Amino acid sequence: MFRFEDTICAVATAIGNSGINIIRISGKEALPVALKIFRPLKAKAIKPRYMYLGDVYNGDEFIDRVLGVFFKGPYSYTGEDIFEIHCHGGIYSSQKIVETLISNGARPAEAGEFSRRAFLNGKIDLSQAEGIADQIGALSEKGARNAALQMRGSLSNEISEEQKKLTDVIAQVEAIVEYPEENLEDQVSDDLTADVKDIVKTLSRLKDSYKSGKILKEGARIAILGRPNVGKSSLLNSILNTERVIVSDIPGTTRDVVTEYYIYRGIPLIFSDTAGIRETKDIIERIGVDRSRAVLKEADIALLLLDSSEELTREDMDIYNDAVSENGNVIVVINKTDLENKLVHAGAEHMFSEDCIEISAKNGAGIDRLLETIYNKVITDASMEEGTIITNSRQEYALLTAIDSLNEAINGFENNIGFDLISIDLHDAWNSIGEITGETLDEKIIDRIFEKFCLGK
Amino acid sequence: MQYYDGGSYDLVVVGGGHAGIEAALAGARLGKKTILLTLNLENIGFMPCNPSIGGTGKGHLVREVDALGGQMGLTTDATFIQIKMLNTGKGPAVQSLRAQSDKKQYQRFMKSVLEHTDNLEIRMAEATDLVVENGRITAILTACGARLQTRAVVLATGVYLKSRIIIGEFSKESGPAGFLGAGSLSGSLKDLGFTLQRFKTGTPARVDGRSLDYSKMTPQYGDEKIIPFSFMSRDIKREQVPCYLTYTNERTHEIIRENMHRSPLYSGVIKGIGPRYCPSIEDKVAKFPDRERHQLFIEPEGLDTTEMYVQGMSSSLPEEVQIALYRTIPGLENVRFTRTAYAIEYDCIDPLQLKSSLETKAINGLFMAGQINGSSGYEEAACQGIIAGINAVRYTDEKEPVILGRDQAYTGVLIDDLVTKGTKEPYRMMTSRAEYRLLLRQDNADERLCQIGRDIGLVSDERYDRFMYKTGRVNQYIERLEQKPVNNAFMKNLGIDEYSGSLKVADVLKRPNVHLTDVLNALGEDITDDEEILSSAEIHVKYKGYIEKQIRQVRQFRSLENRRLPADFDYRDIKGLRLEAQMKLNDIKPENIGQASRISGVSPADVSVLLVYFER
Repeated sequence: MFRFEDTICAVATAIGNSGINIIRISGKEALPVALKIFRPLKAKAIKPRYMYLGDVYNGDEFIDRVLGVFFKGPYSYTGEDIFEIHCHGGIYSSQKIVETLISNGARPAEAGEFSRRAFLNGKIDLSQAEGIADQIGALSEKGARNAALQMRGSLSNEISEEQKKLTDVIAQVEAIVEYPEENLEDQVSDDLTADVKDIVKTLSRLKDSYKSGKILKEGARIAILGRPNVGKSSLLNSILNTERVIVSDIPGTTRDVVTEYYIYRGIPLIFSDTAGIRETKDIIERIGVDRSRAVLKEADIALLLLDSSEELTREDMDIYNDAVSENGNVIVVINKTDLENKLVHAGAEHMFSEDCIEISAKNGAGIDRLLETIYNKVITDASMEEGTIITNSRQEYALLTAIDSLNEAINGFENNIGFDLISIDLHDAWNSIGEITGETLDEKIIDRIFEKFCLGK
Repeated sequence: MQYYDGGSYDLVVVGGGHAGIEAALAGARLGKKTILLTLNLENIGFMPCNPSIGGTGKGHLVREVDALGGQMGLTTDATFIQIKMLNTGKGPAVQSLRAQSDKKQYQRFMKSVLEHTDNLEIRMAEATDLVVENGRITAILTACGARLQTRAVVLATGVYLKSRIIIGEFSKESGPAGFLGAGSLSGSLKDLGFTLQRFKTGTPARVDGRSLDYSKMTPQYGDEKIIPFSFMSRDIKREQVPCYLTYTNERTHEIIRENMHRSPLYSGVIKGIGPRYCPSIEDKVAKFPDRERHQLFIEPEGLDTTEMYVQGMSSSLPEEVQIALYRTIPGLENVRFTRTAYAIEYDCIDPLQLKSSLETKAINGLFMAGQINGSSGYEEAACQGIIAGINAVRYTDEKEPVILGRDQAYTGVLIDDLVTKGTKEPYRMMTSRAEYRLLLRQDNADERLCQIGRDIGLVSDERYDRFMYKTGRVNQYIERLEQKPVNNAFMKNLGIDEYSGSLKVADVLKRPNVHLTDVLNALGEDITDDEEILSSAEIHVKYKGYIEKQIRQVRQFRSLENRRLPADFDYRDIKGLRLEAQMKLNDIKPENIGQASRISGVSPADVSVLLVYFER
């Protein structure tokens, strides 16, 4: 259960090689808890929104020289009292400070808890709260930019616009049933069905952007396949070395699946080098194969690596067929073009329905083209380049249910079923959209009816 | 003033209009010693505005009052001169009955019902003061010096509190149609701490039918096959009279525009807030300047009178202007007025001061019903009347009040809207206000409420037996149709050549334009049940999918509705709530989280906070 009386703390900056980390403490006891460990050098009293230079101690143990700043609620991000400690970068100092805070009465914050408090205190609306949660989790620049857009309410704006259009449709339907004697049929929009279809179109576009949004937020997963010694590891190394990028082992990977992480043109690409997929009786090997199969299934793209210096083998084709059936989104890569080119000469590349990309992991030839191909495949949706993107599954689900309801309403219009029944679906759709904007229908429909029509005796 | 002992009662009902009647009948029929006070005994069941009962949404209310054991439906059935089912082409949920009433007949019938009800006295008297001791109502005082000892009071004062009528530059302290208003009771309410509002409504002119040329208008007839309001009425055969349709035109609108400055609404003489639902003709012209015409209905006021009601022409312009503009209308060129149109202002309370039982939060045993609560309409008044009457009785018996949910009745929607959201204009029932419209149909009001009425004690054996019989028959149909597989002969009889799979008869009935009677004919069965049972069974089968959809929504709704909130809680203690929400919640003290979520100014975020807070 979520408790909002506790004072919570967490490192507010992303874990990584930054110069500075910020530790945030929020809640009623934020200041007293902070002052148990933070000793300002000069100041005697802490004024809100002033930066103080000081030291953090755990008892007598010096931890770091830091800056401290206090925000008095409600004028803070969460609406509660907040104290921030700006310490030196790296993991040691920030972790140590958090531990010390916890031993002095703060509780570690749950994921998203700061935003949740901000939301509960009316500081941000629901879609803003989600935008912030995504921003925290965003792996990439683009993801962060999208999260920022959502924070400013561009998603709210676009969806509110559709909500308004739907209110109009509902008001017309309601006026017709409410005032049977007024013959309103000839006053309403010529084609309510078309109006609803328009709304469905926009909502569908937003819903479809979820996939792109998810890739922006979480990155595109790419499985590298191929029989042993075709150069999978060297391909990875080659990609990672072409530009000096941050390479990191993402924790939690298994010995069988090596995962590397690389940002290409703002999109996080997560490469998994699989152990290879083939039938085996060896139990240990079997586990590795199963794992690889799971990675392949979940990947957004499968890269099949072939050795240009050897002829195509049956094993190559087995792996290819696996990739097509388990994943479907395959790029065929012919490696070792620096060596004798037996494969292409034998015309083996015509065995594949996909275009083949020739590279040399050794000298780097063709790597740029490969990355560009991957990028283009990932960005299939134009909305990825511009416009609003849905990034969380709750919003996707709400849009999905809204679209379903609207399609049922369209069906109802086309089959001439009663307006009272159609209106059930229209109201359902409205409420689903309202789950994103946080609004309720209430008096809006009735207000709209009387704005639009001259009614009453 | 010296007060004499006017007797001792269980229940005093103030007002003899549509709310007062139902409240008094409920009290007396439940065995309580009840007295109904009215300013004028000629006024029992009076319809000061249009001579009709029902309409969209309102027709549902009449059916609900009837299913609970009330009187409005029965009296309407006994005295209507035209009846019509509206919206027949638009699906089962929004069909509504509407009747033209013979006003005088209706009143005579109602007065006679009251006079022949055991435990009930009716008395002409003006209630002036409420006597409250230790937060409970104990007595009521009248203008002529009577002190009536009582355990509970229902105030159903209609538009009579400090009422004032306005016609152009003329205005006068008066109730509707020249009846006396009530000057003192408002003051007593104010002294007791109630917040009052000033509302406004209006009525069109009545005209002499002999001065009209009906050949220039389109007659509007009632239904040939009469469907009555009451579940108790059977086989009504009656000669019906038509209404007439005509329109305003550019000339009408021109006269209005030329004289707008003389309208008290626009010159600022009227301060009360009028309903959007019954705009005056000058309102319509001002707000919708592009409309070339507005439709008008000429409706008879009764069988033995030549007076006609001009629906759509309510106005507070000066009499001289009114006559001129009425005379621009086709068929009304030589019209003679019998009564001038007027606007009326009156006091009512802010209904946020009421509980869902219609008891006031401030004073135990004091209930309110009808226009005093900010509603408008005879039907809206009647449904509040019966609920207030029932709950006043339950209060004296120290029983839990009866509260109908938004998923159970339009009556529940109406009361919840009033006590939760309040109203800034006279509140009219509309079907769009109901979230679960398909469940709250006029045809199933008995299914929804008859058992409740029975448990309360207002539903007679005869009514209950009928209800049980109907439900039994309907269920038999549903079960049979859902189980019986179709065969070729059956499908051929229906003219359906192609079908696939193992269909049940119910599946076929779900198709558009297939009705239960067609299905029974195709099965070769004799049709013995009456229309009411057949159509109820048909709706259950035909709309099953949608009905289930709404039942799912209700389940969700109930989950918040069932989370009770404490009555004496200070919401300022919850820091997570926004200031506005704290204030609103403290004002209204909602009974559960569902009700809290409907308060304007309480956002979904505030509701999450309440959920979190009260879950701990």
